[in-house]
Amino acid sequence: MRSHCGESMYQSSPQRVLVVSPEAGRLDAMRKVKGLAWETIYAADSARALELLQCDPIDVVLADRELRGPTNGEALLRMVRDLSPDTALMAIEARAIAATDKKSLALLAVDRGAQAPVVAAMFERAYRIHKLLTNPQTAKVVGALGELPSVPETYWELSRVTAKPNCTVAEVAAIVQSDPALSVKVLQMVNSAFFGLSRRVSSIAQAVSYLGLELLKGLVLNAHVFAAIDASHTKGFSLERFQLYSVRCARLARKFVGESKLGDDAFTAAIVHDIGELVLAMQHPDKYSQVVAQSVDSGRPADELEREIIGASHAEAGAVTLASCGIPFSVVECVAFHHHPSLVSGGPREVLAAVHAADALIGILTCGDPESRLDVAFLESAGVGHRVEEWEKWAQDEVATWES
Amino acid sequence: MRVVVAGGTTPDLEPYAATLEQAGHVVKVVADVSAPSACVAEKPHLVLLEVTRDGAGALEQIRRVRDLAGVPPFLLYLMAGPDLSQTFLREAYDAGIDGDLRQPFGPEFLTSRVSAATRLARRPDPAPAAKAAVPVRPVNGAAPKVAPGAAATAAAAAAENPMSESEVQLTNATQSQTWRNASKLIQDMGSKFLALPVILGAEAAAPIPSLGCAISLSHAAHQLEARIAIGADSRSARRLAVHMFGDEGDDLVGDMLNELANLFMGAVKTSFSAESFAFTGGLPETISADYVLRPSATYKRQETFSMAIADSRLLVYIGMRSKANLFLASSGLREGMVVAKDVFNARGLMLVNGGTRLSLNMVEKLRSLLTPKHLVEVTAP
Repeated sequence: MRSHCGESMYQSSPQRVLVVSPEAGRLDAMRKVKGLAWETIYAADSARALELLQCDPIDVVLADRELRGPTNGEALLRMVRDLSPDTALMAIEARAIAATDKKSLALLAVDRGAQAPVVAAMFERAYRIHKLLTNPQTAKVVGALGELPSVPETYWELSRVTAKPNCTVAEVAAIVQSDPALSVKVLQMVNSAFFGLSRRVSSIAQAVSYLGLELLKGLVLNAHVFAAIDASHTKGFSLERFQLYSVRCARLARKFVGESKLGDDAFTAAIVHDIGELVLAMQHPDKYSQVVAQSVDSGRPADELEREIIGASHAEAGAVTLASCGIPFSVVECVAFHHHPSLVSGGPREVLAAVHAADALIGILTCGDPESRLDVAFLESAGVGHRVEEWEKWAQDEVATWES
Repeated sequence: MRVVVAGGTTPDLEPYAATLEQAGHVVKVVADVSAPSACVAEKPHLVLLEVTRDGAGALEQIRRVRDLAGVPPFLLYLMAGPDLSQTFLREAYDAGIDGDLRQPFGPEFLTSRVSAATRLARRPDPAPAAKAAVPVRPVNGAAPKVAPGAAATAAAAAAENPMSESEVQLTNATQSQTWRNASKLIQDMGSKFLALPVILGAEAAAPIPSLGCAISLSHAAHQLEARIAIGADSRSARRLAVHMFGDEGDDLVGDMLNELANLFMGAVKTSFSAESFAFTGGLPETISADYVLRPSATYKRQETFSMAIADSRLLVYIGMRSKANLFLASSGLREGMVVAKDVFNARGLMLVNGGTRLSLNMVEKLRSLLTPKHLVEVTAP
């Protein structure tokens, strides 16, 4: 993949990372990892951590939630955020559940049992996404949309309930029914031409069984973001087609990953992966029309032109928008790097691989995108290179289904 | 769903019938020659007509079924033999079929195709499609002409093919008594006005015209346009002008054609009104004589005939077309077409503004940026 302007900003590594944990062995393990581009420093408690923070700038802080003393892990993160807004925050959890923990300030949670090389890769990922999210240029492009309301309680409720192995349709239906606007949206969706049902579904429970839990969660997120930025009259944009494209990508991304929690994450990330296009089209309608026109005329990738003409790509704008309303790191990272996944090095990347491949393959098959859009080298490095041929076939089937 | 299955050899149709009956449909198997009477008796929602050979006879068979009067609208699908040519299929669509099933096909495909028609017919809220299929209401607000029970099937036809909303109305209008008897209406009006016997003949019975006049009837709500054109050779035109005005001056020859076109249009319009089709008449216009015989290819169910009036001959053309926008696959776009609405790619990004006349470059771009089956709405020619 060739390098695009602006990418270099996200390619750099942190220079200093601070690990705050009562387990001193963690630092030793980290120091044994070869080839790290940064200096790792260690503090056994919050007081020492704050002292170090005031001496020299620190790019990433990893704080253990189990810190003892008057300042626990979360409180320390809050203080670091106030003292040093440029520092990326991470937390060590007994079980990394940050994806569903809306209260955590940590961008990324590290499982207590994670091996040092995995933790090292996560430092880099957290640092890069934090740099992207705090980039003033992107913030300026996103503008007021960066202050979207928080994700509705319904989303977190659904995440919590659906994470349970014995979750029932009745429980989920009850959550949906508690939100009248969502109930209407769910019934509209299930009765839309997209599903082609021969009879009208009028019960939420039936709709839930039909849509599936992951689609439902994606729908909540999608409805929330779309409702917040009301793009129904955005120039040069067909909201209906855009949403349909997102749902189709999501369905395919989920199929790539399979039936698992990761599949749900892939679905959720894919359904909002291009939301930045909408943000750009709404915030900068004239410039965005220029981007589309030039992209059509010259065949150059839209994200490259977006950076040139507007100052940020739709991937960056989307990531900032979603992060600002509390969407989990895994989703934000997928959105940020779905066109350039190679910028995410190390660690588990199945979800990013699925979202990238689903978007690239559908784009190649339906929008005339060049084949180089699919980053095969990244897919190889993410351990899914052997599945590319199968995924291509699935994408072709998906497109054939929707055309028929 | 009531289905009539018709074809040349009825025993060969039994497996189709059995398949459909198993799927819960009520099926009647008849010989193709009996298809029209079976349609009248059964009032089917769907007719499956098996045609295995090209030919005018097969097209005539299709027209006989499609142009039946007094039956609720129904879908007409062709079970097309493997040897049928594309040209024949195109003519079959022009003659009135709504879809085709190319043989060989399996029972699952047949069931799916018929189920699709059923689903559309029973769709609980077919608002957009049904809107176009609502039977024509008379100006005075009396009952609709088409039986309400037929609306769902008409809606099915429209919904299955979203580009055919106006086509459904075209079918309704061309199945009317007025349109079926238009030549007779014109003959009667000519005879009455000119006080001369008028004899209808084939197109070839009239000399090649040198003068022409055309007049249109339009139905704004249903986006339909009917056209009546008259052509005359100069000798016939002069004789008729003398008969009508006592003189044969150039202006009077033109006036004579205008007057006749206006009268014929009036007769057709009045008859349409009696059948609750509210057409609006236009003004006669002088046209090239060539254009009498070569109208736009978009006209359907057209007829050209001669009228022998004493020792003069007139050539009369009648045709009707939908003025609704066309939906074309991106592969069917051509330079010069005008895009009716904004064109978006699969991601929802706008590629071309509505109202743009396509250049060759744009056509090539759209073909490369859209899938071959992506439908683009272009204005009616």
